[in-house]
Amino acid sequence: MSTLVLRAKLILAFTLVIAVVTVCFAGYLLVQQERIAGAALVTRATGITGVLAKLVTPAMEVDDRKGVSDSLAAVRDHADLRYVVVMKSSGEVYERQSAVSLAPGEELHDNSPQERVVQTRGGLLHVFVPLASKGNQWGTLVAGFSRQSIDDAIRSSQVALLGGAFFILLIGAGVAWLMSGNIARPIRSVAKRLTRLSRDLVDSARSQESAGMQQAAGIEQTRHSMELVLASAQQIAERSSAVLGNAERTVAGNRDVALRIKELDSHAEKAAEILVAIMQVADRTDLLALNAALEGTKAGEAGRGFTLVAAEMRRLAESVMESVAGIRRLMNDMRTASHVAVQAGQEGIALSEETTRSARDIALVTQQQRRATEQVGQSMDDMAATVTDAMARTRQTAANAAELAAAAVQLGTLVDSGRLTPAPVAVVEPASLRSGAAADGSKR
Amino acid sequence: MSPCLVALPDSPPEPSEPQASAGEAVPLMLVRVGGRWFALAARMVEQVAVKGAVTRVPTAARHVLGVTGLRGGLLPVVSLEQMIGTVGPTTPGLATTLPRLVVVRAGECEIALVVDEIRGIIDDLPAGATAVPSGAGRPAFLAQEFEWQGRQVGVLDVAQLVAAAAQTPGGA
Repeated sequence: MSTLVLRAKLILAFTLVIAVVTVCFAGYLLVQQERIAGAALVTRATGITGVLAKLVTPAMEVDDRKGVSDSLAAVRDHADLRYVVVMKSSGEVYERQSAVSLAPGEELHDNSPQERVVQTRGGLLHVFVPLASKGNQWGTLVAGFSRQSIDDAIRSSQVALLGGAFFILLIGAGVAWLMSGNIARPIRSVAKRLTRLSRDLVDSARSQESAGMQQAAGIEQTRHSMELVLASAQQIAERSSAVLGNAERTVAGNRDVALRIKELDSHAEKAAEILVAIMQVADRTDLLALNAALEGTKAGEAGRGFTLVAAEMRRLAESVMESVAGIRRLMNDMRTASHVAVQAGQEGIALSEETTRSARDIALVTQQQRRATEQVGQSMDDMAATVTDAMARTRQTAANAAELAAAAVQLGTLVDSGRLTPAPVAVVEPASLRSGAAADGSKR
Repeated sequence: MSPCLVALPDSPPEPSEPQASAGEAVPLMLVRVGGRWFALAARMVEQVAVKGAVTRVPTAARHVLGVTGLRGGLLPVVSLEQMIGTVGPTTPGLATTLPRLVVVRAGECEIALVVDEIRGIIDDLPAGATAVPSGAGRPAFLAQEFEWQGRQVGVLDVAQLVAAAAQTPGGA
């Protein structure tokens, strides 16, 4: 199978069209020329035969054979005239002249026509002209004209037409060459541009797909991080709940301790009141002993025993007062310690309440964080779906671009070195598209 | 004003310093006022009592705190601290008791002295008692002093003390 360039095909097509038109036009011209030549021949023939008939008719009237012959001789050298026959009405050949090359049987002897008749028979144009005058038909003039002029005219036209057709074909081929160039060049340019654009589109789609995969990976990583944050938030919530429980128990314990200390304080105050009473008794006893000692001293020797008893009583009283003072100091220490404990307990209660509030705030914030994390996760899912959709569209775009590239290559092939029946060009998908499609399928 | 204190200005009593006569012991009552210790003749002390409510007497001297009821009668309450002057702050470690009243008698006159503590009665004036040098700052009722258990104890003459309580400017 011959290989033809698109341009050659276009040239051939244009040339064929021109050739067909030219041939048709030439044929038409030939036909027209033949007709015209034939009509001219007929016109000449009828004219000549008319003239001859007018010349011969008078001679026939007078039966002037010589006159007829002379009349016939006048046209003897006509190029187209092959024979002239004058026939009487009886059918007798009165006079005839014919060309040397006339073949037997080419002459027609027919005196039947009553009017001029033109016939084409045997390659000759036969004209039958009745010789009539004064209402009498003396005979018929039959002339045979050669169609050689027509053939010559046709032949000369054929040569001219052939030359013209060839010239037209050449011009047409040149115009076709130019036009095919004007057609093929833009097509080639468009094909190259299409190829370049489709390749750029494929590259862009590939880069978009790569970016989409990176984005999907980032989204997945972000989702994983958010899940970790959520897990941490849940742990924090659990720990804060535990802290809250401990804080609340601590608050209750501290309040209980404060209550107990308050009870102790109340008992201590009662004990202090009792001590005051004991102190007063001891003090009174001391005074009583002093007074007794005074009286004993004033009594002199007789009051010595009394003085001794008084002294013992004083020592006893002093001992009681010292014990009371010690107990009072101890109770003051206890009261101080209990006040410190109460203050510490109140501080602990305040701290525990603060801790409780903080734990509640942490729980609230953790809950809010969990909700926000869930919302972020949902947004990540939406984004992932959007990215997946975008990647699918990108793959579709890349496939379309690849198909476009293949079509452009095919077009270019047709333009440069195409085949009459171009082979189908396989659409080659980028490797990423194939892997992306596989990954997308596996993910689903 | 107590008639006892009013009757004394013109006839100050004779000093009644405890006499360490041979064989005769002079029991002394040791009392503390602020940071100073004093001794009074026990026989001059009528009784000791708790310092109760003291009713202020208008126009009384500064050292006369007022009067108080004791054993059915009214007694003038005299601040020994005001009479003596600076007695210093109470030394830490001393036994703190309720303020006492030491009722002393000089003749027919009884006054109640406010003291911070009554330590007790000693049998006799220690041998090392010395006379307090006379001077502008020495009260007349403070004639001797001795050392007892590491403390300087001033011996008060009760009669002079009572007279001094009545003679202080500002008394009625």
